[in-house]
Amino acid sequence: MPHKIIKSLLIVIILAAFFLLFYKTELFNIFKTNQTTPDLNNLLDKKATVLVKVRLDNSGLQDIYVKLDNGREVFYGSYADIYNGHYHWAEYHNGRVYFIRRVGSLDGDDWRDELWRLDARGRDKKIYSLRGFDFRVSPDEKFIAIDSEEQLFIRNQSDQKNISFSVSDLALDNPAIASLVGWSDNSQFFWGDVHVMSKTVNFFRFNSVTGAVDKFVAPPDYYGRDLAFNLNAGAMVYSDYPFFFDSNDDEQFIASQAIVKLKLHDLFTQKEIVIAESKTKLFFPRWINDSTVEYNNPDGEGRLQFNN
Amino acid sequence: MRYRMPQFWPAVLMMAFLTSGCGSDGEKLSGHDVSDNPVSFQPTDGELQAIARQLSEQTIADEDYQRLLLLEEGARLELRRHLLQRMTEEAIASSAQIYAIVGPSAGWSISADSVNGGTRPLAVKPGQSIAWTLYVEVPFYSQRDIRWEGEPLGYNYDGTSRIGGYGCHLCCVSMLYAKWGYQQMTPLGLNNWSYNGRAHYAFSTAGNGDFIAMSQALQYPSVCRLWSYITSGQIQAHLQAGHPVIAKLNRVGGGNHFVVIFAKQGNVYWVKDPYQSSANQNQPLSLNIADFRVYGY
Repeated sequence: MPHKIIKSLLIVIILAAFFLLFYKTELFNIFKTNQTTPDLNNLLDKKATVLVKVRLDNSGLQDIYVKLDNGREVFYGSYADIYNGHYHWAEYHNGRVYFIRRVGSLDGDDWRDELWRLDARGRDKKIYSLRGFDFRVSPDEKFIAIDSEEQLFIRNQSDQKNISFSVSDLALDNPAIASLVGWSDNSQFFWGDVHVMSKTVNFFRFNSVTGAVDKFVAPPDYYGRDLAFNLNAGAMVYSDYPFFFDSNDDEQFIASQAIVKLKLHDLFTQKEIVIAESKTKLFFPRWINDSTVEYNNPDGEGRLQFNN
Repeated sequence: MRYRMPQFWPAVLMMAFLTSGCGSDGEKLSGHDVSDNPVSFQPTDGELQAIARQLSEQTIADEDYQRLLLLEEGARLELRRHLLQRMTEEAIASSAQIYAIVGPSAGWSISADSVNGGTRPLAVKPGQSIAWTLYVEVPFYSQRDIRWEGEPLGYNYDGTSRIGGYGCHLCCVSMLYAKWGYQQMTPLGLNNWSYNGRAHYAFSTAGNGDFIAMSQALQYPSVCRLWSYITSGQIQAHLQAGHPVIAKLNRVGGGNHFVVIFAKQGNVYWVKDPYQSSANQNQPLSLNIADFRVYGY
């Protein structure tokens, strides 16, 4: 009799071990989803792109994939209402995807937008629900900045409390509207901008450790175009290419052969240097690291680099 | 060798439109040409020189003149350049027929106070009724409507421009579509309109892919609608005819903003301002204005 109990216990332990092993290594997902098995070690701490693919099976579902640096695409989950029409519909942090779902029909009055978190095992969780919002998750996932029609606030994920800001907290001028830019890599600073109509008038920085907000005047010739923002250094590379609203104005500008300057602007010191000049060409600048910027060659093809 | 003026350019124009589908062979709808395959009109430089001569000498045929209102933006600029070789800026501005096609020169502007007859509008409380002198019904769309403010504007190659920040012109065109009965052409509908195998058909692919391409943005569902510049002195007549007027404002600190002039109260013109919410949609015309336009009439 004791042998039978011991034997049964051994079988249970072995089965439990197998279950945990399968669950841990995600082999479970093969049976559940028939999709690529994610290698969690490859997913952690990597920059990756979140993709959405429409299914061709008439199910109405869309699949969320994460595209890794090595080009491999990992399946995360399927939903019918992913709001990938939003300009910033998803973010990827530490193996998890944060994304917006738009639930309900815009024709009716019962629609809402929802922020969800999803991991590679397909486990999801609704984080927040609101109509029409933008979001930025801190790299350590402790904070989420949310900009809604009503207000801009930072949500602390540990206690679920919101730190709300009025426009006057963030703006140097009224009336104005605040919007989100992003978090520094160490998750200490959140940056946003304040604009009047389409003109950015100032930037602000929220310190998640002290709760302080600092405001910085935006360059007067920055029109919201051709920007690369260094969130760690408080530096922006931008061009003074004007923002046009129709191709007529752009054609006129191009015909003028005006000089467009690409500038490095330090928001703390307000010091500025000209990196490059073009004749009515955009630069599409991008920070490669905290001291190097790359941009389109104004005199030909390819990209050039500038080291600060 | 001396350049010989082509005598056949009206025929060239006619052929271009017949082949593009934007010509007079199309079905008429509300006074506008209709086409299933609209292609913008892009005459050669030599043809533009000939057109400039005909315009300055006032010898252009009505039918050919109407087609000039469909010119692509680049061709309009070239035509203006050729016209300036023949006549002064003031002469262009004084000729409504020529001004309608080439508009004001870059950098020109007029103050709203001047357009409003020197009258400074009084503040109006939300909900307060206004005794309009002139009024044209125009449905309103806000660029900051939560249904679409987060949508990328056009192709938005660099990922920064969205309707909430930069969709004023898009919303102005959408307001006109709503007035014309195309309820599906909301700012979201117009922004995402696919046509002729092209996504975001209303936008130019140049630059960051977020410039409204006028000749294309006004084509829904397949109608080649005309658009033209008008002077401030022509606003009243257009409102009386039931035509809303688009105004491109120069905002303080740089950049532009688009609004729709829909009414007049005393001397003051009023606009539908897409930057505002529905509650504050009606605002007196303010700031400096870079140009006035009429779309689709």
